[in-house]
Amino acid sequence: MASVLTRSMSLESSPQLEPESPSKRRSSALNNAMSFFLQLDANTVLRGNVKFHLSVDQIVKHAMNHGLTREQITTLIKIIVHPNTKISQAIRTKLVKCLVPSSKVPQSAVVRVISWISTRVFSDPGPTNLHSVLLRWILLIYDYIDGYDQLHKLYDIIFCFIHSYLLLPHACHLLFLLTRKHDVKLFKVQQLLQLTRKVGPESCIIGLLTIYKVFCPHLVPMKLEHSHKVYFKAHDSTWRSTIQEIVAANQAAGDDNGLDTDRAEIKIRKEKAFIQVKSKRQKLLVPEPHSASEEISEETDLNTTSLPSDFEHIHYAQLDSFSAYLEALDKIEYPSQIAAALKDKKLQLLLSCHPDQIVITRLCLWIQHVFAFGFRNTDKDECEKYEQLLQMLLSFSQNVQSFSVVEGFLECSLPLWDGQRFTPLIFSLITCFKPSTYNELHYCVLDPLHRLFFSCDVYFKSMCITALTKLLHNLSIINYGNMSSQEEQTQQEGNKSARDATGDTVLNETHLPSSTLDNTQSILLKLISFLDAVIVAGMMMEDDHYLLQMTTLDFLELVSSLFQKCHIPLVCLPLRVIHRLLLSDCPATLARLCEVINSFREAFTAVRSSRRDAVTCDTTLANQVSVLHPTGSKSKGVDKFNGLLLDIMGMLWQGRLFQERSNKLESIFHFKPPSHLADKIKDNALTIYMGPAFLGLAYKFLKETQREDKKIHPLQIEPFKDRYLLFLERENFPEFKKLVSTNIKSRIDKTAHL
Amino acid sequence: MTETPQNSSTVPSKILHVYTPFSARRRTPGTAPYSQRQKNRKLTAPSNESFESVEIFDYSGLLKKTWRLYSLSPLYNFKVNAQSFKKYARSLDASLTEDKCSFASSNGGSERSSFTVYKGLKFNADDPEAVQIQVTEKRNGGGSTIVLNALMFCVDIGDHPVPAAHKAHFTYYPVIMITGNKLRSNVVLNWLERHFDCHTSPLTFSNNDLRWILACCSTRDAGHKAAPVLLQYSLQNVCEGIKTIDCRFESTFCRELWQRIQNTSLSSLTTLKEDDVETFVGALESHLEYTMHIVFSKLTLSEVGTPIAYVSSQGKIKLFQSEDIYLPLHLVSSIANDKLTQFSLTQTKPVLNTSG
Repeated sequence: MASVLTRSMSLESSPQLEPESPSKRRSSALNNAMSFFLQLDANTVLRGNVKFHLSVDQIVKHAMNHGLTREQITTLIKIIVHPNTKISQAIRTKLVKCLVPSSKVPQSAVVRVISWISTRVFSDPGPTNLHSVLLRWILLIYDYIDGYDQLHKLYDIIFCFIHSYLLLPHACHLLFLLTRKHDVKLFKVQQLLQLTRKVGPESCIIGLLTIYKVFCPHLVPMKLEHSHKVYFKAHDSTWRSTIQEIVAANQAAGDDNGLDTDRAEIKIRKEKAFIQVKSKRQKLLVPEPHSASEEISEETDLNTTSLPSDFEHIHYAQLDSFSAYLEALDKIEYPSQIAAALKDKKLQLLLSCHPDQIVITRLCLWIQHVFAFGFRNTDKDECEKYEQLLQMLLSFSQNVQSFSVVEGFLECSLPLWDGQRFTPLIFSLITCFKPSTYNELHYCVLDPLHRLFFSCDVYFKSMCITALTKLLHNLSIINYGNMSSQEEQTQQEGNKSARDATGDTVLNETHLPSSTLDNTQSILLKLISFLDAVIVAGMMMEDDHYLLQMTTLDFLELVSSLFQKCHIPLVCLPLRVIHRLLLSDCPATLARLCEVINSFREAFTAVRSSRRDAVTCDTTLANQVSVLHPTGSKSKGVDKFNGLLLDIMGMLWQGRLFQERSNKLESIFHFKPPSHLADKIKDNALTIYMGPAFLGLAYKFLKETQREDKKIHPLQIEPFKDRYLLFLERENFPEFKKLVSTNIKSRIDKTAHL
Repeated sequence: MTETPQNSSTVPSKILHVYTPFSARRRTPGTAPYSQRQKNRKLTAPSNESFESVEIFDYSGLLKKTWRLYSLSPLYNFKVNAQSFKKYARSLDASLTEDKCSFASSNGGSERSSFTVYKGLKFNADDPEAVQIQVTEKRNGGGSTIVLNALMFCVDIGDHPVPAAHKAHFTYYPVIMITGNKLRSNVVLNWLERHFDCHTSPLTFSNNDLRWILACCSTRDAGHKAAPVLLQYSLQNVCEGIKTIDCRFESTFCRELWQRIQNTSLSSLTTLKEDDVETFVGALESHLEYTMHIVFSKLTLSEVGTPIAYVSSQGKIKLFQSEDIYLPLHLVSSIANDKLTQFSLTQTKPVLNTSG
């Protein structure tokens, strides 16, 4: 009673403090507990010491609920390792379990722990359970240490821990996480092997030897048993989960993210500790990155006990993280089997940044051999592997632009291709093709493809046209890039020479190198001509299937935009295709065709106003190309377009199908219809109100605008063509109105000329 | 039933005729596809005065054993010298012991591998020296046995798949032939792939390849006691219950047939054309068809045998005569090389496009 009164009186007599927040109260209680321990000395009796036990409880309670800050961890470790106190091993162990970080663990604390453990490793009676628990603690908080540089320096000290059976598994685990290439030394390998002979092939020792083998395979040439699924067992699961929960809970308060990349590295390294047994018989389609060839390279000398200083090169297999990869980008050695690049994006990036001719040859030879010999039958497994390899080849070609591996493959496999197997992949590979001349393109791709085109169904034909359109697009982009850089270079040289000659800056006309210009234009022009002829033949075979019409229009839209969007100095009219599509019975086709015609008109206009020389032509006379100079003189290509424009306007708008024209421009309707059809096919037979493509729309228009009981005929639309155009616009066909307003300047029959 | 054509110019072409708007286009000159090119193959080794032609090599280690053939892509950084061979042997030993195969012998002998240059197979100055790999197992009771024997060779091939600029970094052996345990063979092949960045694959022979081998090898004179010329046809997908049909001809009969086709001494024959091969094999098959009323020309050859070598379509070979070691090894090397150079990714476009 008296003691209780005393206690309550002491509380009453204490000065009235301001009300504290719970966290401050907790913190001060903890600090009191810590300071109690710090004040302990060898003479303080702890048996029956209430304050001692209360302090221990306070620390346990705080740590298990909120974790300890860096300073508190450092202090607590000082308490644990302090030799001159009577704190029992059990209490010290209990305090070690309280070393739960709230966020980070200071590296200095870990260093202190290691130095304390090392004092007992070589002295009798050796390390105790407490040392083992401390080492386990380091493994549990490894991810949260705020730096690792000092730990790396203590690698050799930690290596000495393996001589203690108690510390062996945990030391091996810690070394596994810390090992870097220059830590691997022959004497360490020998000590580990000696240990193996003494205690048996423990999984932890094998795990450590495995990581040594990754870095230096020539120092660990012996066999390593892979029967262990896990090298390092996960101890202290409850303790681990407590730490993780508390750190995660405190991380919401805004932890520093500076070590996120380190965590990723640690995660990768920890994943390596859990190695799955792979079947020895299973041969991978594409090898994994490894550095096996270092084992037998000429520079390696097995007799030396230490590695030569080889910080100049780092093997790709040793890089754990993307940041390490970026830092060592100039020093990376390619893996022993370069085919690993087919599925490794980082290697592909490396090949793009540092293309090495020998490495590329190695890769090409590997691919060549696989395709020549690798697939011997057509069963399901082989087909799947073939498809996977094609997929890898495709993604490789798309990622690594500096060289191409598809030409050889296409040259050899397309003639033997049946058009059915792996169709989307093969077509995707075709779009990656980069020919140097048209002959190469024709021989490798177009020749075998056109045979299949005429023997397969409409879906194949459509895919083929789409793929070749995409190829045309890719070639124009690639060549645009090359030509732009050469243009700039030539322009700079031209300007420089002008300045040198006259002393003043003179504007010169740009002159592109004629050989490059001709080659680019030649390839694109001949490809357009090829497609022009092949598509028309295909449409004849398939009765103008709508799918073909749609894919053809995509092709036309690309060709019409070559000059303006792709900046290729070429305007080529695929006349055969356009003429064929003009006779389509689908209004959507005709609408898109009108848009294409408008595009061509803009292209021709842009060519005239541009300062660049450009080639204008059409595919019927592809050999007779002419160059349109900025001076504005007419060319054959422009004449052809004018003729086409007049035909279209006469056909769709003016109703002058077969009428003679005053100018001498060519016309596809310049013929006399047969006598039995002369009465039936009038001049307005294909107009936008009379044409077979527009019957449905004309009917709809008349139904909406005329009386219900009136007898309707499309001819009645003729006086109201303008309103009909608005109606078509409403029906989502604005292209007709745009065509008329662009090309018919007035309502009095005046046609527009360029 | 096909008649033996008298004139080689009437042999039908193998071109697939498809009449399309572009059929009339001429091909790019000099780049006719593989199937259209008339092939010639050599029968005799090139004479080279720099070689010591008087030196006689003992090929007895190669004869009368069944070898499995594998094709190899060019080996990167493979050095043919004693110091490198020691490293290779040590490394291969580690791979052999590392593999947990059950083929380890019950007496627990250790395996040692050795790399040596196999002399006598360098018939062309451009050929690399053939390399022999042997794995020897030491028995506990003393003595040792060769448990695996492998030979990498390149005998007088034509086009090289490696671009000339990089030949110094690569060593090309089109074929490796191995005799021994299949699991051990896989270890050796995997070791080669991992350390020299190559790709290996079993070498199989098509019907056309076997016809070439049959025709070329049956021109050789092997004496009266020589093995007969064998044509083994496979009926696996044709007839249930019958796997193969073996047809044997006397080797002297075949030489007489050749004599009549060539109309010249066979000893002076140095090359064979594809037309000659078609004529010879066609003659044999038409004779068989006339005799047995089975249309052999429609069947597929699975094995061919001649006095100097027997070769199966599954990639097995057995050699019989040291004097004619060149021809079968040259044929398999050429066939493997032709298949590889068909898919040429390096010859036409090794140039980097750095502005891409």
